[in-house]
Amino acid sequence: MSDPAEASALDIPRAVREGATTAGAVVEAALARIAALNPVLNAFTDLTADRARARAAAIDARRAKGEPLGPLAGVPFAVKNLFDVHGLPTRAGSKINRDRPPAARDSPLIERLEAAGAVLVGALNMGEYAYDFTGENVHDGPSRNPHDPARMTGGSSGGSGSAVAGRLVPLALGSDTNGSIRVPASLCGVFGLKPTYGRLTRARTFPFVASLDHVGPFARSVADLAASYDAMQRPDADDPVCAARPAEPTASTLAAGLDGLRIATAGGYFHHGLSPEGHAALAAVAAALGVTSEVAWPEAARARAAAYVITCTEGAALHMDRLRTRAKDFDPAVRDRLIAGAMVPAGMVVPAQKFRRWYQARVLELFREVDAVLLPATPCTAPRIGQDTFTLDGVEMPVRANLGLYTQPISFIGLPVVAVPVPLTPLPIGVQIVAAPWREDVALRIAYALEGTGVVAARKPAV
Amino acid sequence: MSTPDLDEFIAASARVLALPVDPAWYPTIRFNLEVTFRLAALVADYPLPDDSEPAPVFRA
Amino acid sequence: MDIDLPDVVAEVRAAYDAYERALVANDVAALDAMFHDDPRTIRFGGGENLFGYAQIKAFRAARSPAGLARTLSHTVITAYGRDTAIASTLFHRSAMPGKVGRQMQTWVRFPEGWRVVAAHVSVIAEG
Repeated sequence: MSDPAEASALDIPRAVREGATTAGAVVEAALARIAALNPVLNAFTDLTADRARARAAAIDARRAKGEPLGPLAGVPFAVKNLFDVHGLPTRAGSKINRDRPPAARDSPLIERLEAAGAVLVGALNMGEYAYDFTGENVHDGPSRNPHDPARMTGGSSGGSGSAVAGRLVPLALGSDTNGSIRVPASLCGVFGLKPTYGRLTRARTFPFVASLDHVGPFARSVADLAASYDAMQRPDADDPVCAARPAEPTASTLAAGLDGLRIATAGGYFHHGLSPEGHAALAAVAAALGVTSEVAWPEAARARAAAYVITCTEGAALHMDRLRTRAKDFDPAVRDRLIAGAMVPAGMVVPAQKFRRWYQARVLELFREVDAVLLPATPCTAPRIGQDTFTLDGVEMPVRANLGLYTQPISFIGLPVVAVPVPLTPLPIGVQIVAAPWREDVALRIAYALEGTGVVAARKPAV
Repeated sequence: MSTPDLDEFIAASARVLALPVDPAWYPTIRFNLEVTFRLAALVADYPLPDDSEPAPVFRA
Repeated sequence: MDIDLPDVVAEVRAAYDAYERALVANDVAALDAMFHDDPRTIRFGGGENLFGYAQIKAFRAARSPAGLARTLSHTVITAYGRDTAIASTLFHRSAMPGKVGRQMQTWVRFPEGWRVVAAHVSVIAEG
């Protein structure tokens, strides 16, 4: 392997199987790179070095005995610190959760990736309790964007975006309630997959909004995204929301090409507040795919509003006891959002859930006419850490409130999305490839074809 | 809603919910409530029939 | 007379997009609001000829909301001066395989805003 830091989640297992390297060497290289760069990037909050070395040694022992190795053998990966990691209190980006007893068992997605041979090296920084689009954290410090460490990663899976973009690990897991995988994927210039709601088990993760929470992977190539997703997807009785659908592997159809796929763009709401970079990225992707069709996406603003109401109220309900007893230990910004959410009357929430069913029906009608829709992922490229506003057409817009504008109406009804990075200079920006429910294969196939044109890529940062 | 009305609402809600709310937090809580109420009004504006089903469906 | 003044095109585009959203959702109130309330407004639809706002309004009220979603392509909006614009587009629906739909609208700026004063929708075989 020429540059271990650039090695993909498919290169590494091949090299390990062929004896070109060992799992132990790969893990040491990752740990060394994390030690060198994490002081700048602040992506990791915990390292599981001993466990990782032991796992790597076990893989190398298996190889020495000629036993079969998993498809992700030796691949180092990390998880947002809301995933249960055996022996660690599940932090979820908070100070309060540090007092929890250590998790008794890994979350199932960690178990499944490790069953495929991947090696967990640590847990990643995130916005407190996932109520965040910036990747900043008052307790652990902000995760930093490898393309410019003075800039935010986006959130709430900030450490996940940073770790993968910064080449600390080729694979990371994050979560996405209203955009928390797609926003950091966009700002950090990497690929992210938010699967269909209920596709990947959320068991043994610290929640945020049960109605809207998803989990999913980050990677630097579509093939890596598909490989990790395939290794993780199947039912899990421990998550009531996890669908009882058998696994539907995507790797074999990745290279099927675009024939027969109807792809369209959508403007209106998804162009309001979109920066020139965002427009350029969308246009480049549409041109590379030969897309000339548009659809009218229904009621996106109202959908975003409904998702917002459900988020702030369910989020608040989760934290009531903590707000009563540990209010001062919250990030003050999160605390005040949660307190406000606790005070919103139920009469405002039920209509949001009713609207959700209406809106889902309208959008599914759209997906009878198209197989995928291209949308922007974020309004702008990565703002500076601590930046409150960005300027568009001479108008100042608030950063935090607007970063999730285009992601929120999509996750609201659980549609699968692949966020693809367009390597603009100086900063990348993402595009969402949105498919019909359970059609991650379509979104991944389109992303793979796009990657082949060179229009999307996880460009190496200067760091 | 006026600031004094909202502040009364916050104070009363805090009592009902047994939530300790520092007076210094009121401006941000008020701002968040204003945003949420505005967005909730946008949702309420959409005329849905009485028999429209909420999205989550319980199976006995 | 200036053709395609950018601010005018942008206004009409926004109105046109709003019309399209209302159409696919069968938002009858919004659709009614976007046509000019006048006996001289004409709409030749896919299956009907409607003369005057009253006939158009009646058509909208009676129309089934099913199967209205569609994809648009080759949308062209041309603004002549500040108060007139033509919007034309092609459309496809999975329910009409092998066919392409065409929609043309004449938009005029009134004191109350942009309104459609004439429209024509028809479908022909593709290719």
